[in-house]
Amino acid sequence: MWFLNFIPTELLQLAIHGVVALGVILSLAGAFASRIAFIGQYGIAAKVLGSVLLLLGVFFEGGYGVEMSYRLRTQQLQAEIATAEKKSDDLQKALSVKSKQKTIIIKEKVAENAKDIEANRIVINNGCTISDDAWMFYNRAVAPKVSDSTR
Amino acid sequence: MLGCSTTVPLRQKFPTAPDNLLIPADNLTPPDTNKRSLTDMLENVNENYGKYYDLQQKYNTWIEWYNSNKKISDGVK
Repeated sequence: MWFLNFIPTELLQLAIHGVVALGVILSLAGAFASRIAFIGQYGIAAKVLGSVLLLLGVFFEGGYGVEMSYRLRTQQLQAEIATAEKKSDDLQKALSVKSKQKTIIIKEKVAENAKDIEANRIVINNGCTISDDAWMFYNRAVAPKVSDSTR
Repeated sequence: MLGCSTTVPLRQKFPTAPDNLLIPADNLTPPDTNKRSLTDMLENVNENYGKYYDLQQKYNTWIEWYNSNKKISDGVK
C-alpha cells in the first residue's frame, strides 16, 4: 500500500467516503428495487454489489484512519528531527568558536611566557648547565610512548 | 496492513563536529640537541605544556559535544 503516500489526503478521503456511500445507496436501492417494475430483476445484483462495496468501504475507512495517524506521526517526527538538527548545528558552531578562542588564548600565553624566558635568559642560565644524562632523560620523556596508527 | 505503508525517510543526519577538533593531535616537540641551556629546556617545556593544554581543551570540547548531542538525539521520540 506504499502508493497511498502519493495520493493526496483529500482525494483519498473522498474516494473512501464515496465507496461507502455507493455501497449504502446500492444496498438500499437493491432492497427496494424488487418492488419497482422493470428494474426489479437487478435488485439482488445491486444488493450484493452494494454489500461488497460497503464492506470494502468500511475496511478502507479503518485503513484510512491508520494511514492518517501514521502520516501525522511522520510529520511530528520530521519536525522533531529538523529541530534536533538545528540545535546540533548551533551547538557545533558555538563549540567551534569557543574551542578556537581557547586555542588562541593558550598560544598567546605560551608566546608571552617564551618571551619572558628569553628576556631573562642570562639570569636563568646563570652558569647552570644541564648534563648529558638529564638531556637524555628529558628527550625520552618527550618522545611518543605509543606508535601512532590513527594518522 | 495500511499502517505499514509509510515510505517517508525518517533519518536524523549525523551531527557535524567542530572542524578544529578533527585535526589529529601533534607529537610533543623534542628538545633541540644543539641548544642545551636551561632556558632552552624551559622554552621546550613551555611549548609542550601549551600543546597539552590545547589538547586538553579540545578533548573536553569533544566530551561536551558528545553529551550535548546525545541529549538532543534522545529528545527525538
